[in-house]
Amino acid sequence: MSSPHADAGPLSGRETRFEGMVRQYGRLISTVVARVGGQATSLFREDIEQQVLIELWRQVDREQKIDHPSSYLYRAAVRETVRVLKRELSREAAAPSAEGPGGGESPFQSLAVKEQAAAVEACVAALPVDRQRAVRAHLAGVDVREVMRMHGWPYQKARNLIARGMAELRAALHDRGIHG
Amino acid sequence: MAEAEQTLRGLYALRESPADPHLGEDDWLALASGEGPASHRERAIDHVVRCASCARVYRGLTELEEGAREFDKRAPQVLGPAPLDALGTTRWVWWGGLAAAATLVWAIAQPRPALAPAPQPNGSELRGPEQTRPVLLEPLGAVVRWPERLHWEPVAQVRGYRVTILDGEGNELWASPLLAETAIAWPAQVPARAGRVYWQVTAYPQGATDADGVASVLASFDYQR
Repeated sequence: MSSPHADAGPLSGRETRFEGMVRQYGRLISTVVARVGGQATSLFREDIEQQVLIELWRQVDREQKIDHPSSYLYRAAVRETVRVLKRELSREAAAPSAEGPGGGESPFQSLAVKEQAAAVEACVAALPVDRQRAVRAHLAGVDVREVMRMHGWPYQKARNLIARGMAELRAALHDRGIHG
Repeated sequence: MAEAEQTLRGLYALRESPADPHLGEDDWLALASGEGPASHRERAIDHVVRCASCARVYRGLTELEEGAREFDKRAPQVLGPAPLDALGTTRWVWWGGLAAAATLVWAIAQPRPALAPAPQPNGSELRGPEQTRPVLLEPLGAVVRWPERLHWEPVAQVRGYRVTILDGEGNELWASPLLAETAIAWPAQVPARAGRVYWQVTAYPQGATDADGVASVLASFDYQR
């Protein structure tokens, strides 16, 4: 498949760079999907890369004229990453788990865990807005620098909100008999 | 990481998904491009941190952004970790806080794909006034091969550079002598290790003392064997 802007003649330097960047994005997207999508996805990395390349070129083909190739390709790459990741995550969710959602727990244990998870959610939801944001991000595995970027907070604010929010959350859970 | 915190995160991950709808393709595009009103971004972020599947897509886009900067210097820098020089402290005070920052950074319970800050100066709203500081080129972000060298952009009118390498706890692993070049082979004293490694270059202006060195942002790379 070739660039819609390449016509039949030999590729100009700009077009070659454009095609090269499409290939780089194809590889990058498949790498990202393989890492984020988990083990099952990583087995199909080459297939994903091929599909991603085809879809990127399709997106490029739909454009008559691309004024800012770098920006255009980045946006196409974002769209394609979202599509492929959503597809892979849906597939993962639909796949039967070897141990089931509770990891071999008894129904009673499973229920207890669900109740505790609901208690965590209730306690987090009761935190003041900014502390809640900081704690949710922290519990979701987001590091303090990402929290700064996400919310536009300076370091000290992000750090304090996480620390105080987590302390408040632990106290609230303690009151409910959950020691975390 | 304390076991209790791991448990807490595990429980948090098990709660029911939020009722509000997942982000659509256009929402993701706006988020990843830094476009759209702040209120939309805030709403999107609020959903991302409550929704396990959207959090994974967010992580994917963060990695895409970081990876793209390796071959496209114009790629945006709106997701992922803020540059560490955005801490709002002076360079010297900042070092004192590094251990605490690193502790929090390292206090992530679940193993997850390594993030690649690639914090090059880009006029981010989190930065202070622009200074003439070294811009780090490589290694940045996720790397699959242990780096062979460290490379940064030259700064005008300097008498030399000093490179510092730190581990994830902020402990100094190695510091170079004063260098005239803008690249140096990876020091043999710091063997390959899986995980995140930080590095920084300080430029020393001509005619100035060592105390007047201008430090780059603290960059990092993640090596996965």
